[in-house]
Amino acid sequence: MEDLLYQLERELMIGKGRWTAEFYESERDFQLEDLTFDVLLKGDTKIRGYGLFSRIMSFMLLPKYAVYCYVMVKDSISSDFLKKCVNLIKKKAKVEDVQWNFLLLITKQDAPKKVIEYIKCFEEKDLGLLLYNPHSKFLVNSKNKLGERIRTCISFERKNRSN
Amino acid sequence: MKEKIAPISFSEIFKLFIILMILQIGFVMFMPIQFLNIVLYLLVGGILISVVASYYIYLKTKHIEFYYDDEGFSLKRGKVVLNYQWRKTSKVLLIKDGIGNFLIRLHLTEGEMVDIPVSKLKLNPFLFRVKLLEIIRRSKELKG
Repeated sequence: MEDLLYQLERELMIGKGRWTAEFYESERDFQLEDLTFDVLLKGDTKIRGYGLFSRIMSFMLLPKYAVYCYVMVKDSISSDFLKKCVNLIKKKAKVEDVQWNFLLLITKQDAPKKVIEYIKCFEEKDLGLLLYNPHSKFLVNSKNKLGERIRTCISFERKNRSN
Repeated sequence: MKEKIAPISFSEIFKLFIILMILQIGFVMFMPIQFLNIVLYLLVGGILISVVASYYIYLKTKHIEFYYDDEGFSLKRGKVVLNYQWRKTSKVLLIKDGIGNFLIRLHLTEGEMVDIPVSKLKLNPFLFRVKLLEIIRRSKELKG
């Protein structure tokens, strides 16, 4: 799993993730109330290239939304646990004024149908959900903008796509 | 036995070399016309002086040396040396700065912060952070 976390962090901070947000801070074992997220990436939507022109364009054209990406590795996930994660993230987003949030869940066992249905039907604008099982290569994401966006950022090995 | 990481940054030396060369070319351009026959020698001498001086200035002011073991680490930049113990670390963050360089920011229990410039040390920031977390965990376990 450490390899997968390494790949995720790398892709989000210096790879394709930069098309979505500029993640500039990463913290391991982030504690949010009684939950521990394996990785929390913080960033914003002011994507900066290394040239002067790209910086000027970014400054003038792009909005500055705070973006948080939570990554959690679990053996299995229940729908109650998922709802709890979502509620805590939304609460934190409200307190810290974070406009875009992503929650990436990596499970070792297949997720129950209830969880998959919850993710597929999740439509809130400020949170994108993605669930991935590296063993069965099953991947599902929420169908809102952020869910679609985060799916394109990471090249997971896939067998089954949600849509 | 402390492990040492101290790569030479040729890009920093090159930047200093260019600055010194520009200064010397400027000096040569304002020399009286009578010295025209020795301009070529002055420029060749200038290159040699710039190479030696830029390397010397780099070693004295910008060269980074990082030493670490299971107890703590030392970070030496030029003449400034910082010594810290791992067990005093409360939080470890991986930070990407404005120009794409990575730092590992250690929050210490006294409210201090130390940045380890991993990109300048030519280390893989993601893997080295995981290694540091493991060292810090072990160090805290040992000290109870």
